[in-house]
Amino acid sequence: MESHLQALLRASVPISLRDDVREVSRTTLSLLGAMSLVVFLACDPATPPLVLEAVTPPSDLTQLDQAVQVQFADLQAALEAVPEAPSVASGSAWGALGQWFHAYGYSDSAGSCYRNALLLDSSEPKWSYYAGILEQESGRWETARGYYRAAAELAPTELGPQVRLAELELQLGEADEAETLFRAIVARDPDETLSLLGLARVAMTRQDYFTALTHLQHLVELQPDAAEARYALAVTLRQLQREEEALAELALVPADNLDQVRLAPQGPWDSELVRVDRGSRALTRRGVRAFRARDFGRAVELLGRAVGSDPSGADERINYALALSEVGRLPAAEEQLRLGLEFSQPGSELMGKSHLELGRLAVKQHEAEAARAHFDAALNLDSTSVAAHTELGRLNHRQGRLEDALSHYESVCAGARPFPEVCFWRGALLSVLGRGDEALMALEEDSQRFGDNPRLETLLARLLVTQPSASSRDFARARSLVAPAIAGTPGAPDVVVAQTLAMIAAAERDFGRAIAWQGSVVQALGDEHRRDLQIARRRLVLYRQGNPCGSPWERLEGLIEVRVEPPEDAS
Amino acid sequence: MVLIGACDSAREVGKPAGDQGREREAESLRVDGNGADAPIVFADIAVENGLDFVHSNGMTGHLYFAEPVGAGAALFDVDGDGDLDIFLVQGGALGANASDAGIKGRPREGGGPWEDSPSGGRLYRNDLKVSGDGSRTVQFTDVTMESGLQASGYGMGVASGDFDNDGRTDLYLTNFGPNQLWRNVSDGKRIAFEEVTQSAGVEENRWSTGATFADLDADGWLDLFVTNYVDFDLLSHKTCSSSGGRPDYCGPQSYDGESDRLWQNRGDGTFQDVSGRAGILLEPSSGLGVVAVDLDLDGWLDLYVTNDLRRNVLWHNRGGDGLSFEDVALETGTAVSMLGRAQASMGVVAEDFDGDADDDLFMTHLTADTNTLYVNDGGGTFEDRSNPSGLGASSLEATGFGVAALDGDNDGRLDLVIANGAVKSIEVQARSGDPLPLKQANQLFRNFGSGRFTDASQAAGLEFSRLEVSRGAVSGDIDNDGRSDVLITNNNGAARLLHNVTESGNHWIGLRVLEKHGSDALGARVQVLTRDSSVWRRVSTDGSYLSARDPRVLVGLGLVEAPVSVRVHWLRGGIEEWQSLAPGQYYSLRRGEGDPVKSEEQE
Repeated sequence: MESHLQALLRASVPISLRDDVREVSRTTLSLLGAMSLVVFLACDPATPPLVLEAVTPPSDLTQLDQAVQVQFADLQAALEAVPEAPSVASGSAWGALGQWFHAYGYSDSAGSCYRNALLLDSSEPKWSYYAGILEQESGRWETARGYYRAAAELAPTELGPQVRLAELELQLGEADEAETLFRAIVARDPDETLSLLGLARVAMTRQDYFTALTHLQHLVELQPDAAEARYALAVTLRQLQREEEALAELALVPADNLDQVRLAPQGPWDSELVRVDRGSRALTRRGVRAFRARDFGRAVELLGRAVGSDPSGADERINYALALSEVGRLPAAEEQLRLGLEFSQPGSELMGKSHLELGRLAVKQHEAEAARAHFDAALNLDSTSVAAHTELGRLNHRQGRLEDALSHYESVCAGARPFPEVCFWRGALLSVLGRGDEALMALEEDSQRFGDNPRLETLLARLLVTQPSASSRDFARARSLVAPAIAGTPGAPDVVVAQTLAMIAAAERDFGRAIAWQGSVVQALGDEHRRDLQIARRRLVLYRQGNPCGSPWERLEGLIEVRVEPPEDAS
Repeated sequence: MVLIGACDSAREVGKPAGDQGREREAESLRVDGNGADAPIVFADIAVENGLDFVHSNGMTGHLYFAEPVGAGAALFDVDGDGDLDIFLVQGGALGANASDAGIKGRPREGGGPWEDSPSGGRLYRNDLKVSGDGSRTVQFTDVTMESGLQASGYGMGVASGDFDNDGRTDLYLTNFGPNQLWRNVSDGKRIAFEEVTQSAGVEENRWSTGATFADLDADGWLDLFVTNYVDFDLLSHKTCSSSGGRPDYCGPQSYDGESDRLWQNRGDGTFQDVSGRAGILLEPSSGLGVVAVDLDLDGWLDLYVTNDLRRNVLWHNRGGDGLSFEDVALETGTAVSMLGRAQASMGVVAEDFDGDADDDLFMTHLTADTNTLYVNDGGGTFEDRSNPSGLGASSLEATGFGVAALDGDNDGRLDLVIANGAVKSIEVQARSGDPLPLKQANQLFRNFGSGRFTDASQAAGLEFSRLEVSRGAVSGDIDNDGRSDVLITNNNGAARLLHNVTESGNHWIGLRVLEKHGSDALGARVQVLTRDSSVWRRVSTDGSYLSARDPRVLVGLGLVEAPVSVRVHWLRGGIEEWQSLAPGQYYSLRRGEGDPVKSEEQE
């Protein structure tokens, strides 16, 4: 009986593959002025020679990362060195070249290489597997199915082809076939995550949401961070009318794809393909993912390798530096940033980015003036840089140079890309500097343009109840402004909101309530927030003395997110 | 070129036909008309009929992010003569002069390989002639200069709508750079536009893409929603790379997302920016497409925004005068793929694909990702039916941009034409030295009912095997013959006007649904009834990719040749019915001129 692989090869290569191939000769042609490999498999003299598919080096080879070019040259040399006959070695050489093309996105050439590899060594299942992946990605699902089946026949103990085949069957609408395959996999490995997800999906297509729920609950125990598991669970819960639980699950799915943990085939063949990719971009992508997952050690390793792949890449240097900085290797980080600066085009965004990061590193090292010099340099390169203005604002703010800080915050808020957080501090500083009217006006405007921003509205509420003129105070509006902030923080309000509630109560001369809230704030703040604790205590004294708070924001006050237990009569 | 009409009559009827009391014949709208096996076929008639537009993206090897993104087109009746005219959005050169001036995307003065191309978008007047024997001739004349419509900037898209309720369709042009609002001031003798961007208060200098005119507060005046893409300008240009390190176009995640913009029409020719108040600033993203459609059937138009590699947004309209929205995409199942992953959504259409009287969503995505069909359960919650519908796997090989939902064979079911063109280099084309190796074939998906679509591209004519970098796909009946044609825009290439030459033998009815003052009633829902079936369509110009379509509703009737009834569900409440409308014609249905339908008669 004809195997799946034989059928595929017969379909994809116009010349039939014979068992009696006795003699092989190879001719190297020069196409596009570079390497071209066309292998003629000369068979019985009576039959035409078997022709392998021609493959040429990519026309943009010289534009690739240095490490990638070297990798290609090695594979090319390996191909030249293999014996001129169908064999494991010649199949492997073509397959490895296919992996190179596959990893770097040359799917046409990759497909040709894999097919050549299969012609030369049809006993190796992974070439079928990779060819199947390429076909699946191109939407040729029936062909992909054949390749996966071939791989599964040749390697029945390998889960990769079976998992992909099962997923494909499900996508093709063959739920029964998919279920059989998934169940067989789970019988061998009860914790195979993709199969658990697959079984859940099969159940979902049959609207059997209780069964789906069982599989998904098991899955999230194994992989609590897997985005697709959480999302499928949310969909299932929604179908079961468990809306609140569904929303809770949705909240666990990171919005940014880069922040998501994905379920992916973990078999040796998949890992092998991932390892082929030595391009700086892939390493950077993986490094950034590790960084975002706060796995900084891994990020250092991957981003360091990315630098090795593209030693003159400014981006790679900066990324590496950020990871080094996170693991406390500050001098090494600084060195990488200086190299980033060196490799940046003069006047480019990367140069600005290097300065910014050097500035941030200097802040970390308590070198304020060095930081200022770098932030200024970034600003010189782009006078509208929001990041540079923000950093200079913060730096001046920390140093007590409030007018200078305000000026930078103003630049951000007046620019094309204002940030609510910066505009909050603009409002806070205006009030600290006794420019309450301006603060009020700015906050009213910001509150409108940023929609319902709890921070801005909380500060606006404070301003509304601390107006010098009693007739200008607006208690009702202040209360309504704070209400969403309370509603938006389930459990308990934070220090800022709680102090605002106290401030409003005091302004309304309900000192009992003000003292209750402020007392709770004092209790909530520990020694690590000593400065804010002092401010909170001062306010508590004021209320105990029967005085309302005169200033909405204190010079050294911070945005503390510590939760405050509401007093008993806080209703 | 002479086009032979497929129907016996295509005359404009100013008012609904009489004969309202006549009993309808015992025929239902058959979904398998007698032309069910006839292929849907299109033929490009652009150049031979005077539509000689060639888009230029200005590429110079710098790989500026804006180059492969544009551009769109509009099909609209600029001069009120009853046929569709065409506006095509132009790109231009992106050069040092623009960046020196600090202006995003301002075309370079001369220079570059496109210096001979006419700058700015072009307006083509359609001089459709219908002979006594029913034969039709379309001829396009470039009237850009005489119209005064000087589209400046590096063009992206266009939205059409009558924002000042004067009965003439105006255009809002989105750019990589400052947008423009052009007020149509044509009279019976001449086509004319005046720019009113500043005076109307709709200035937007960021990189804008999709846009829609929609009466979101139901006050009788069209508001304006504009999607902005990312925070990119020539000064912040980055060179991205392929996985191996070769320089390549960047993706949207290389830049910060932008928030969109919503302007409320004050009714006096000016708009007020209500973006913050309405709540839409909360989700800065990478918007490319938008449709204004009442997805939960609560009487208020919602906004569905497709974002490139960021979650899509469904702005649920809370209703009322104040314009207030909340994003419900995640909980309604329209934000991300089945895997919980944001897709690179480009073009989008909202239509009732499964014939259950609510609007579904279809959107296009990158190569190796499926296009997505979200099917509405009637309450505004959706199920991803991409794979079961057959629209999933068949889209993996191409990057979809524009999408036109049209009934290609008038069988009563909406088919899909998808404009494809990659954004990442295609190996075989790059090897052959193609300077823009992003070319892919467009696709036609035929709706066979039961929720299944089939790729019918091979039988659809030469145009569906041509490799181009297509972007916009706009449907409209260019020769009023009752068959939906498609205008395709190509990045750095010629526009194609795909004339529908399908010989299905099915019947049809065309409807232009108008407000009292003569504007298209955008947002109204149209129900075409036969004895025991009904087809729902929406009156709109938005959707697809960067484009604006024919506002008329063209409904395929299959075998039904007897007169039908039409109910219009007006946006601001009220239902009117027109009875005994004979197929094979276009009708203008004006608010207040139909028979009011009482609420108990509505179903």
